[in-house]
Amino acid sequence: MGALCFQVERGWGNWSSEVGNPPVNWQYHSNTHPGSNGSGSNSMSPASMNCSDLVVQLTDYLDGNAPEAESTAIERHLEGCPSCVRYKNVVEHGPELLRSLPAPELREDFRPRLKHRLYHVDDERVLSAHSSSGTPAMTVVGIAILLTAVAWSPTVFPGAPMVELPAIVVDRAPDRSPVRPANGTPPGTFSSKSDDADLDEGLWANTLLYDYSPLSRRYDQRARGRQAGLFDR
Amino acid sequence: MARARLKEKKKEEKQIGSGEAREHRLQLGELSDSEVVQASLDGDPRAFDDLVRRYDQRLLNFVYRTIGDRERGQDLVQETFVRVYRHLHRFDQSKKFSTWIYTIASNLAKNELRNRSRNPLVLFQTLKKNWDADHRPLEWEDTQYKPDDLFRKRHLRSKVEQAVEQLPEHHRIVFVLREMEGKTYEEIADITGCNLGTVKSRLNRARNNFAHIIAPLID
Repeated sequence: MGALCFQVERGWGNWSSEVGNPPVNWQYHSNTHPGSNGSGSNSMSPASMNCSDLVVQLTDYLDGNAPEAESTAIERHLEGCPSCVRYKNVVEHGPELLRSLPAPELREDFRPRLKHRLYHVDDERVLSAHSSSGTPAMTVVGIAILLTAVAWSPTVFPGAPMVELPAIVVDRAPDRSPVRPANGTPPGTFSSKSDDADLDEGLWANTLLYDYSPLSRRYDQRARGRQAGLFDR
Repeated sequence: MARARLKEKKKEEKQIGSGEAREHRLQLGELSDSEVVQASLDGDPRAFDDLVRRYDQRLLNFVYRTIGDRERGQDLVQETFVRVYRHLHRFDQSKKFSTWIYTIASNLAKNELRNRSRNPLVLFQTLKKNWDADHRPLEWEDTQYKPDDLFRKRHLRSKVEQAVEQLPEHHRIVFVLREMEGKTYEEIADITGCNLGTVKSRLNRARNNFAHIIAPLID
């Protein structure tokens, strides 16, 4: 049967004499009945309900949710089973004891603190309402969409124009040195007779790349005149 | 005697307020929860105060019995009200307000228990707090009682509280909601997010465990 049974060892007695030494020891026993000190004499006798059934169904019974037939069976069982009666009393009175404990009191500053926090919630709401007018967010989203579209355009639009350039074919690698050597020509002008004439040909034609400034020329003239004593200091 | 009555009256006035504000509060006091919620949504600043007044003590009791820490319980109740205030416009008014607010408090309490189990420092602080409570002087007790009565009373109180704390977390929440708050099975199912069968079986086991623990204390 494996019923949950309550083995009464010393009865309930006076509480003060039982401190630290529980009067009742509830244990699981097999084939015994709660009210019989483990003898199992009246097991299953009240109606067709045993103690383990009662333990399972007691919650519904106490809360008034048990069907009528079940309630009747429980009541019949309780009539003949003192241990189950005791169990029922404990289940009923235990929470009463709990309810009789003093409720924890709120701190004095509970409501002021709460008000302060709620004030901050209001503040956040006002701030967020001002900052989130909708326009900046929409702008950011728009820019993001635009950038995404640009980034994905080659994939998304496969028909985009492709320019194919003809391949440059050369016979040999150019043999000139990377640094053009000075060949006596004034700076800023290129000799058309240089070694690289084939490369430079026509490239710089009629293009003034550098010219001496008239001012420097004038200084040059003044220096010469001064040397000749033409100008005063 | 007269002084005590005056003190009582002052306390009452402090709670209810005076003049127009008092009248307004008394009017709000006659409304149902959902009507007060609607008033708060319509912009009545006193309506939310009224909701706080209705639920602060009940929630503190529930959270305290669930997590076993008074100070932290107050913080969690505050957090519950802040969340309610923040999301009141989202509350489905076809449902019970009490179920909604208890669900928020219950979730916060569950998170607290979960965090506490991960943080040994918090556990130590809780143990220390309990130790302090055990060694507190007896001045708050009624001096008419004999010392053994005082001892008995204190022992009984601490045993009952311990019995609740010894219940597994998911059993404890169901047990407190049913036995302390008087919630129906359906409400408990809504608050805890379980089905009715689970609520029943958890409640049954919790009652059974609780009875086992406190049986020696009940005459």
